[in-house]
Amino acid sequence: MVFNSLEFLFFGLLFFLLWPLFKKKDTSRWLYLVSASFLFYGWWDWRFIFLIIGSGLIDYFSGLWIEKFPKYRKYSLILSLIGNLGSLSIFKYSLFFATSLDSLLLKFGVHSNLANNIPEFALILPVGISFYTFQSLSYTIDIYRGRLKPTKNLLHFFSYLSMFPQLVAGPIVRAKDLLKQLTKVPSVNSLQVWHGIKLIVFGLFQKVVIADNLSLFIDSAFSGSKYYEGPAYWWFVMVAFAFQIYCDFSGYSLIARGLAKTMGYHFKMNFNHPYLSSSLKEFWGRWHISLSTWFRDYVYIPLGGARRGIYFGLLFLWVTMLLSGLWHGANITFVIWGAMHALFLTLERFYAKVKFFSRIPKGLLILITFIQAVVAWVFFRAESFDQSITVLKSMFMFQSSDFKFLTTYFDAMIFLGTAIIIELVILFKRYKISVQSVYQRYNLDVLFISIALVAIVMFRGEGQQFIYFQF
Amino acid sequence: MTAKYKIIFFLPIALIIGMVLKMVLPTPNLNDAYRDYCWVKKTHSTEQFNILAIGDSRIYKGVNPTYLLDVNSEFNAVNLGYSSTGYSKEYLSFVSNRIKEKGKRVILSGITPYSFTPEALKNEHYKSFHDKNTMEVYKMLYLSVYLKSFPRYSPEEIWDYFTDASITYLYYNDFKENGWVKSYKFPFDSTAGLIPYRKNFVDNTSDDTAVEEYLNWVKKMSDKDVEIIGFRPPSTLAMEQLEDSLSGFNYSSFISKFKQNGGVWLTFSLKDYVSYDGSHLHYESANKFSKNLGLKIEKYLK
Repeated sequence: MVFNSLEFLFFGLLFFLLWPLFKKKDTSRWLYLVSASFLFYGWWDWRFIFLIIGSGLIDYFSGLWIEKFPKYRKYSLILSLIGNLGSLSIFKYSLFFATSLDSLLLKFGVHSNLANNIPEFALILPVGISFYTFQSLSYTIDIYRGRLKPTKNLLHFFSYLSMFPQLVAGPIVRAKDLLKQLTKVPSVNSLQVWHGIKLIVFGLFQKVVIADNLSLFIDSAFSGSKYYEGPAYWWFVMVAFAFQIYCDFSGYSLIARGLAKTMGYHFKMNFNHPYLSSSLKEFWGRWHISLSTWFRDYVYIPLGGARRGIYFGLLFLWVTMLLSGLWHGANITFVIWGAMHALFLTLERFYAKVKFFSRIPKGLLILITFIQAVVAWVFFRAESFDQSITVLKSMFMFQSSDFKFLTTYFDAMIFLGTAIIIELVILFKRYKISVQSVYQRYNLDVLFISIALVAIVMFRGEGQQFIYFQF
Repeated sequence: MTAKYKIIFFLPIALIIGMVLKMVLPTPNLNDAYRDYCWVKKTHSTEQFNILAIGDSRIYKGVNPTYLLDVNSEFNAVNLGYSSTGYSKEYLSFVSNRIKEKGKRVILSGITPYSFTPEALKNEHYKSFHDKNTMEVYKMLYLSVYLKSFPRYSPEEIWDYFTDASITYLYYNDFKENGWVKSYKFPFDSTAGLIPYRKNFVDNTSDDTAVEEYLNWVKKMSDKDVEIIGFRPPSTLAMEQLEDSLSGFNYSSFISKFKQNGGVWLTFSLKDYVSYDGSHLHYESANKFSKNLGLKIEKYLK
C-alpha cells in the first residue's frame, strides 16, 4: 500500500478512527499497531510478512540473549548480523554478486553461469527490506553496546520494527528513540495534530505534485528516445531528477512523520533542505539523515572515524560512502555514485584548509554543492554505466543546445520551477526573520496548506510508486 | 488562531479555493481516472448486449454505440475495441461471453490486416486490463470512478487558455462508458499513421492460422444465430494501399471465406469520412459512420 493511493486513504481513516479505542492499553495498542502494519505491508505481497517476522524474531531473541548470556553476547550479535545481512544478501544482492562473479570468472575462461541458477524467489526484492533490516540491526547492536535494554515483550518489539508509517521507506528509526515512546499511552493535542496534518499535506504535495509531474520528462530522457540532445537539455533533466528524487523521498518521510505525530509519536527529521547546503559535508547532514547517521554510528565511527588521522579518516569515509552506494542498489552505478560523493568529500577536506575557499560567498558555495550533487545523481539515475558516461559527456560538451524541450515539457518546467522557488523561499525565510514573523502573525500556514491540498487534487501527476521503495 | 481552529478551517478554505478554481479554469482535455474506469468496465463487466462492435483502435474510435441505436433503439450495444487488437482465441472468447444468449444479436467485426499479425495477437492492451487483480478492478470500478469529478489540470492548458495562445498541437480523447472514444488530433495529418504502420508490418505479417481460427469462430457464432457483420473500418486510401502491399493479408480471399462461414460483409466508401491521422476517424466522421452502420444492420435485427 502506498501513501498516495485510495486504499491508503481508507486504511488511514479507519486506522485513526479506531486508534483511540486501542491506544490506552499496552497490549491492545501494540497488537493493533502490528496488525495494521502487517495489513499495510501484506497489501503488496503477504508472503514477505514472514520475512519480516523471521528476521525480527532473530533480532528479538538475539537481544534477549545478549543480556541474559553476556559471556556469549558476541555470538548473539553475529547471529543477528547473519540473519539480517543474510536475507539482504539473498534478496537484494544475490543477482549482482552472481553476475559480477560470472563475468570475473569468464575472464579466466571459466563459464560459471551462477546468475541463471539463482532460485526465482530470491529475484523478488521485498519492499523496504533495506530499511527494516537496518532498523532491526540497530536494535541488537545498541543492546550489544549496552546503550539499550532489550524489550521482553514480542508485540512491543514488532510494533517498533513494523510500524507502518516508516516500514517500507524509512526514516530508519532507532530503537532507543521509539521503543520508549511505544511504552507510553500516546497523548496528542491539537497543536501536534495540526503539525501532523501539515507534514502529511506538504509531503503529499512534494510527492504527488512535484515528483510525479517531473517523472515523464526524466523517464523519457533516460528511455533512450533521443528526441532532444545537447548540454542544456541534460542539465535540465538532471536538475529535474535532483528535485524528483528529493521530493519523492522527502515527501514520503514527511508523510511518515506526520502520521506518527498524529498518532502521538515523534520521528526525527529525515530531510532538511539538502540543496541549500554550502558543502557536501553539510549536505549529508541534511539528506536522508536517518541513513547517514546510521552509517556514521554503525560503520564510520566503529571503523575509527577521524580519530586515527587524516588518511585513515579518508579511507573510512570511502568505505562508508561505497557501502552507502551499495545499500541503495545492487548495481555498479550506485557504487560509483557513492564513490563520487567520497571523492567530492575528500577534495572538500583539503579545500577547507586553503584560505581562499573560506572567502567564497555562501550563495556560490550552495550552487557548487548543488552542482556536485547533480553530477553524482547521473550515476544514480542512469540505467547503466555506459549511459551515465553518455549523459555526462552531453552535459559537459560545449555544443549548441536545442531549447524546444522547454515547450514540449512545459508542465514539467512549471513544476520544476515551483520546487526551486519553494527552496529559495525557505532559504530567504532562514535569513530574513521578518518573513517568519509575518508568516506566523497572519497564520499563512493555514492558507498554504489549503493551497497545497487543492494542488494535490487538481495538479497531481500520474500515480507513481515512491522511488525509494526499490531500495 | 489556535491550532484547533486551523484544523477546523483548512479544509473549508481548500474547498472554496478548489471550487473557485474549478469555475475559472478550463475543463482538462483528458480525465485519466475516468479513462481507466471506462477500460476496466469494458473488460470486467459481465453485462451482455445485442450489438457488439469488436476490433482495434479504429473500432473503438470509429464506432459509437449511441448512433448504432438510432434506428435500433429497443436493443443495447457496446464497443469492445482495444488498441492493436488481434483476433486471438482469448479475445474471441471474451467477445462470445458478452453477446446475449437469446434474441436478435449482431457482432460488428472490424477487419484490419494488422488484427491477424503475431504482434496484434498478443493483445497487450486488452490483457493490461484483463490481468488486473480483483482488488485493482474493484478499486477502479467503485472508487476511481469518483475521481472523474476531480480531473487533473495541466498548467500548459491553463496557460494556453488565459493567454489565448494559438494551439499548435492537441490530441483529444474523451472516453465514454459505452466503449467509444471521441477523438481527434490537431493539426490534421492524414499521413501521420503511415510511418508507424510501415514499421508495424516488418517481420510481422498476417498469420494464416489466426485467420482460419477467426473464420471457424465466425462459423460457430453464425450457427448460434449470431449475425457476424464484417467490414474494413474506413481510414484513407494511402493507408489501405500500404496495408494491402505490406501485410500479406488477402481481403478478397478472406471475404469469400468469411461469407462461406455465414458472415455478412459490408463495404463503405472512404470519401464519406475523414481520418485525422490516416488511421482513425475524426469523431464527427465516427458518428456519421456509426449512423450508417446502424442503418445497414437494421434488417438483421428485425
